[in-house]
Amino acid sequence: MSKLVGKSIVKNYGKDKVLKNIDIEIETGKIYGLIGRNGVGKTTLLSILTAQNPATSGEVTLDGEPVWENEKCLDRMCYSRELSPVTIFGTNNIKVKEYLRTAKAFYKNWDQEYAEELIKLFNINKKKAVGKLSKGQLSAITIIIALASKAEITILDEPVAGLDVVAREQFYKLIIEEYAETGRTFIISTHIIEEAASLFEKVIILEDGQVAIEENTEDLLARAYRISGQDTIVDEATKDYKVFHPEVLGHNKVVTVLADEPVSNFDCRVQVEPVSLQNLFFAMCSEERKEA
Amino acid sequence: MDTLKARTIKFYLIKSFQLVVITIGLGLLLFVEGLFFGIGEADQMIESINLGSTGLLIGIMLMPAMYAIYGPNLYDSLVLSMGARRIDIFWGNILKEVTFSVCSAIIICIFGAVIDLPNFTTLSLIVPSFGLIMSALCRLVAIKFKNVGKLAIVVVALISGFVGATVGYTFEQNTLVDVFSNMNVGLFVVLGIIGVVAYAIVERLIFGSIMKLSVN
Repeated sequence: MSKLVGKSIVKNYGKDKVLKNIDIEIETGKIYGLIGRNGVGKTTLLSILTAQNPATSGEVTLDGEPVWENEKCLDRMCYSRELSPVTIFGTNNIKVKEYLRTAKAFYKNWDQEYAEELIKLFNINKKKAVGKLSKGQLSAITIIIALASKAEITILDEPVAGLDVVAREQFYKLIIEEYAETGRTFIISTHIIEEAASLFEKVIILEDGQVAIEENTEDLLARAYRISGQDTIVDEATKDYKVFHPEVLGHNKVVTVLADEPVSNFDCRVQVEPVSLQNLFFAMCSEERKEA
Repeated sequence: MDTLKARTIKFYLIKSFQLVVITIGLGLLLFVEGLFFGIGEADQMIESINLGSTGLLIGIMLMPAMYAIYGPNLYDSLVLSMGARRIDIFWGNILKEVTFSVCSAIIICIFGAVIDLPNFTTLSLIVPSFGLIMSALCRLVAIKFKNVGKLAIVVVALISGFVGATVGYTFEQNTLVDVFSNMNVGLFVVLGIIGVVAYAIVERLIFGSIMKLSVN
């Protein structure tokens, strides 16, 4: 199994510290979900992992070799970024077919037949300029390039942004099919967590420019709970755990708990429910929290 | 040879040939325009050839510079996002510009031979060299001002406007052609060496910046 490793990654934009000493380890052959709030540094992290942007400090390696300017490593990766309909000179007039032709020229394992199939599936007009495409069509191009690249490590940044529900379902199906067939590694950054959660074998949560959680999704959710009941009892039952997002209604209280390991013996007077990845993320991002 | 370097070089070579075709097209367009507007005039053909050749020469000087100003923000960024290495992008751009200059020199020579203009042989060296240095300078400006792209456009528009006006005027007066035609071989070689050194210096300045290039 190969490993893409980022060590002590720091990225500053002027005085703004976007990534603060991030350590990350991506094992190949898995589907990763990268979750974080807007501006937390997801795109920056992904672009540094693929050497598209330089880090202020830190190192990224693939199987022990530095990724930066390394043909052997770069040939194994595809980071399909969100296309911009505008450039600093105005509308992006590059035609879709030119984008695809460039992708075909650059990705070593490019599958043209598969690309054509996906173009039909997402109903893309290749003769159109990128600047004339809708948000959903731009996302579709990102997906087409990522999937047809057949790169061993494929990274998609916000691939479903702007896609309608039918196209989103098609995308999830394509990822599962491709993963089952090839075992490629996918790293998918998304804000539509609820829909994509079942895809993710591992999840990385970025918070305040740092990796808050990097864990197997099932294991993570197995130690996350929604506890509700009378406020004093809930407080007593959760006093040894990390508690997020307390909500109080009269004498009732609801909290989200993230324990260090699965808990089987909560106070029987409280109600214990499982938490979805989206709700856990939401709770973690809310302002109020109590450390154990 | 299917290496990343080869793929990057191929991309920039294709771009170079596309520019050559566009430049020839520009010259032809002006030639046809000259024919069209000069209908009925005695020197219709001569005027059209003058117009077409001026368009061709200006295109050779400015076309790669225009590309150079948006290249780092558009095409370099695009290929970088598809896994190209910065070092290959750097050499790819040089190859693109040199290829364009060589093709331009050949075109000018052929054009000069066909219509029997001896001065064009001299221009076949001067004009593409000028275009080469202009494109390197514009690329440097574009990379340095990558984050304030519109300022780069203004700078290049001013330079191009000045160059265009100067070239147009000197062609009209025939002074530039006369100067180059009467230049001795020694001075010609010195100018050539200065051009190569200037290009190398600018490329050295570009190298430092391109190694920090980011995808937009």
